[in-house]
Amino acid sequence: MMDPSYYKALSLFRLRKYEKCIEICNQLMNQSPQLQGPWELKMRAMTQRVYVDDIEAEDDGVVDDPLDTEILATAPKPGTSLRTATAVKTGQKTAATRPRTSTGRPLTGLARPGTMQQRAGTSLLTGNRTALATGRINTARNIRLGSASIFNLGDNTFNMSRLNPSIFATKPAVAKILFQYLYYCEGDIKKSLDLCNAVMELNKTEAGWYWYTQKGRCLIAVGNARSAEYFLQYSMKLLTHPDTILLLTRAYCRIDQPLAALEVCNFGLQKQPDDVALLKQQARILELIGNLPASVNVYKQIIKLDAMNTEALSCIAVNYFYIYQPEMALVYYRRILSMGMNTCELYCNIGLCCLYGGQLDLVFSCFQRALRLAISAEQKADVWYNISFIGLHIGDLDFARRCLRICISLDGGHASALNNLGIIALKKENLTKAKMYFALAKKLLPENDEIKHNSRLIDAKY
Amino acid sequence: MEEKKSTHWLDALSDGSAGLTTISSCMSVCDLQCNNYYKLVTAEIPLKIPEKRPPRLRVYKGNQVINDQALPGIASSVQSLYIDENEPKMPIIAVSVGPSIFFYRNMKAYFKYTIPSLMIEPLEQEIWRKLVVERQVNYEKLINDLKTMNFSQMSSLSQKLISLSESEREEFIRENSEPKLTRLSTIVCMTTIYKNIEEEKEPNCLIIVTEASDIFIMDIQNFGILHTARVCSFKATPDLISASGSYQNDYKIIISTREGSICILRKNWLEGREIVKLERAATSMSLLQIDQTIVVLSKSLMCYSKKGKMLWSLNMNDTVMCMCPVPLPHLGVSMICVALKNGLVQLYSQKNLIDQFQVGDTVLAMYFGKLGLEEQVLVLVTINGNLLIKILKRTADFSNPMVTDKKVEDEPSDMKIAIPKKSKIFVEQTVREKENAIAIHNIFQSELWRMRLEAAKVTVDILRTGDSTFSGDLQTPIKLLAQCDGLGPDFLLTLTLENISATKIVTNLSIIIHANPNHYKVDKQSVDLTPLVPGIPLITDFNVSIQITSENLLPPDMTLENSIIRVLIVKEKFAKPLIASTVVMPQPELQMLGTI
Repeated sequence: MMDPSYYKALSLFRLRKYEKCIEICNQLMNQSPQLQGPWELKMRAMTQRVYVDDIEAEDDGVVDDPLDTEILATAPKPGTSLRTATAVKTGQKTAATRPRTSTGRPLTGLARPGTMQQRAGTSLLTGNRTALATGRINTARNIRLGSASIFNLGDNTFNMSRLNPSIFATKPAVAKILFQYLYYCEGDIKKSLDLCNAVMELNKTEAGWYWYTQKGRCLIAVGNARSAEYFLQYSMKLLTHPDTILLLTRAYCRIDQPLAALEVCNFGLQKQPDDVALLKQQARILELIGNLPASVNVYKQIIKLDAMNTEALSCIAVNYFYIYQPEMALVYYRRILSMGMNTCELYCNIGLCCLYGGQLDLVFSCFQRALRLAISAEQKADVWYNISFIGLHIGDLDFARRCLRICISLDGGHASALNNLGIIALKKENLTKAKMYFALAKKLLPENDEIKHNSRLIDAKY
Repeated sequence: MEEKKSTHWLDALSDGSAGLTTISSCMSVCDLQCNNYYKLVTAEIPLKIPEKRPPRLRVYKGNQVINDQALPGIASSVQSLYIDENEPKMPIIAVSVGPSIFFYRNMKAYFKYTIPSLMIEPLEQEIWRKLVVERQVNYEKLINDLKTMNFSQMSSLSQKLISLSESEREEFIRENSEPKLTRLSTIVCMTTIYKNIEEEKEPNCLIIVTEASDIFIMDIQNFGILHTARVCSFKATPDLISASGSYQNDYKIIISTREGSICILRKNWLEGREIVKLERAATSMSLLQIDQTIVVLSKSLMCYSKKGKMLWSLNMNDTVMCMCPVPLPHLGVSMICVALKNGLVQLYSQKNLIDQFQVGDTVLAMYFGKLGLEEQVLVLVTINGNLLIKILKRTADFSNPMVTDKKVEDEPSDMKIAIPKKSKIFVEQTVREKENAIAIHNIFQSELWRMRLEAAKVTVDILRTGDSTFSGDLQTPIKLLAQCDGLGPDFLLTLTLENISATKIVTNLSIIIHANPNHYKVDKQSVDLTPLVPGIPLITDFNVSIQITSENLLPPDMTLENSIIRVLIVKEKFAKPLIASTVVMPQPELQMLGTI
């Protein structure tokens, strides 16, 4: 007969009350440490509690692998590489006006890791607060989330340092749970990779798609995307699971082959048409290589399937905004707002849409709300930066300058604000100041076209 | 462009000693004696002013002057027109001189028409009424009153009176004891339209345009004015005119002004409408009869639709002199002949250069049409008084554009501006904007003041606390950058101070690190800096380590919120720090804590 408290724990797990579930498991394990059920359940609960969809949370950036000895063509064909600035096709003039990130990609609609590096360098001190994420390995985010929670609990039930992977490899049911625990909760990529290897060694070719995919996942996490490609391709032959496809596209993006990644996406979409996750990945890659119209089309397709998809809604909105249809962008932003998203950035965007769409009476109330909702210095800086545009619009340069100064004080690394301050200084014929601002902006965002142009212009003129 | 000699034209006549100086509007060709032998009638424009002999009106048969008579003044326009349908159809010649038109039949003057006087100011009439009866002592006051009026709005009589010396005035007033006050405008240009049927040798109406911007349409049969209109709603001085159509059916009159406007007047309109505003006044303008487009020659050759849309434009290599339309109905083409200052005469079909030839000197006036017994003749009058007559070869084929290395300019209609589609929401929003304009404006303005206040408050806050990476102080403009390296629990905090002024050196600065000693251990609490030179950043490193408890755990009261280090930049003898900034320290990697 089943222990009623174990049953209760199971029920709590299903209800997603992980904390309580873990508590009961602890009690059960204290009573009889040999029971495997509570042990497994606790691992699953702990994994679930800290589970992050690492596909979503991953930085898509191309990693310069110091061990990568293969020489890349220094000037790839436009649109085939993520390293080069985006290929802007002719007749696609609107794309050129869209602001770029520090890596020269068009700004996307949603803040995903790796896409919003408008601010140059995370190593910049900002006025109030700064999150100093230094150049760590990419898994840092997942690791910190997982490890911190354990740490606070002071729970050291599982001593994974003495874990022998080959023992667990023989138990297929436990192995999966253990893997997830190791990967997501412990964040111990090396251990999870060991487990994968052990399972695959044991079963040889019969290991199943799951383990090939997981091995690929681990290899991507440790930065070995090239080897990951092999395992993921193999896994895909066994079963075209969306996870595998997404991981494979990511591996391709890592080794800078966006076109191969797109091909994989298309293949996956043939097998599983209308899969939102795949479509999203496709849209993102299209955006990364600068094919904005195609990307927006995919996002529109996503909207048809999932009308609540915030990412798609905001990407379409941003696209409308930059093709001079702020009123259309406003419609999409309002939809996001009505979905319960109550963030500073959203209000800021709505405010801008109102400003450019001529709905002047709503502009300030939006920005005031955005200011109220802004918590971090970056957010505040961004809101003030955007408020400065009202000043520029109504010709009140002093107001604009004041806003920009506030922005700079809050976030010393805001290159666009410095650039605009430079222009205002130039308008006021304060040449040395303008020069100083442009020089600072250029130092922060050396690749930005506008800043480059401005500093070149001022050097040539004076 | 080596090919300057065209094979399409025959040099029929060339008279280097014609001594004729005229402009295109003072040239008219007509079947003067109704014998199908077309003759050229021109009014001479003397280039040397004052010329001793009066200007001449001449009739040329070929290059022979067959009639030469004096004109009372310099003509502004010469037109030939038909009065009635009586046979034989003899054209009459209308020559406009000053405010009058002289009509010639069979080259004999038979009527002089003077345009109606403009309105005389009541004040002026009143003054003249008094002047005539007043005594000489009071003249001064009255004339001073007269001087308050705008000179150009006075009658010629008053204008003369003002310019006279005091002694001459009395006599002048006595002479004009019954003053006839008239104010006459000058006729600037004339053209003709048909009266009923749009066919050659059918009766015409004369269109007269005066400098005061009036347009008169005159019936020649009884010299009565059929219609009066204004050129445009604003003040403009007409310059060139071109018209087509018939008075009974429909007509269009295109007028170019010296201010650069091009206006259109249609049937029954009382006022013209401006359709194009040019950058500079047109040199020549013509309403093409075939495709009804307006060709304007200014700095460049431009073609507009009647709605004022630019169809094409073509930059000219040299200063342009004059232009005339060259319709060739038998070839199905309509061309434009343009003369440049360097003596080059070019023919364009649309914007394609078709043909060109070189003339000895600058062409001043051009005419294309029937002359003598020939159908297609180009008459050129140069600045030195040469009269050139060229006949178009019957075999001339203008179907192929001339191959030139001239770069064709982009058509403005090709340059598409990315204007987004008007969405329904856009229209709705615009309606809302229109309807609530005042309310929206008021809300915006009051909110704007609130936002300005907010910005000012925040600025004051920042200045007070010095919580910035910039030092706003003009004496010490410095910028602080911080970088934190390491995985923890030991970090390396690198502070980079930069002088962002152009010339000033900042001295006596120190850095003070302010951290909770229970959380962080910093190797040095303060550093005195060397003088900061512009452009050279100063880098200072600090070793920061977290105070780990004996169980390898973080200090118990350390949270994400309070893991900060304050960095103060202070200057000697300054009570307030220049920069007081906060560095948020990263969380240490806890596995590392376990392993180390």
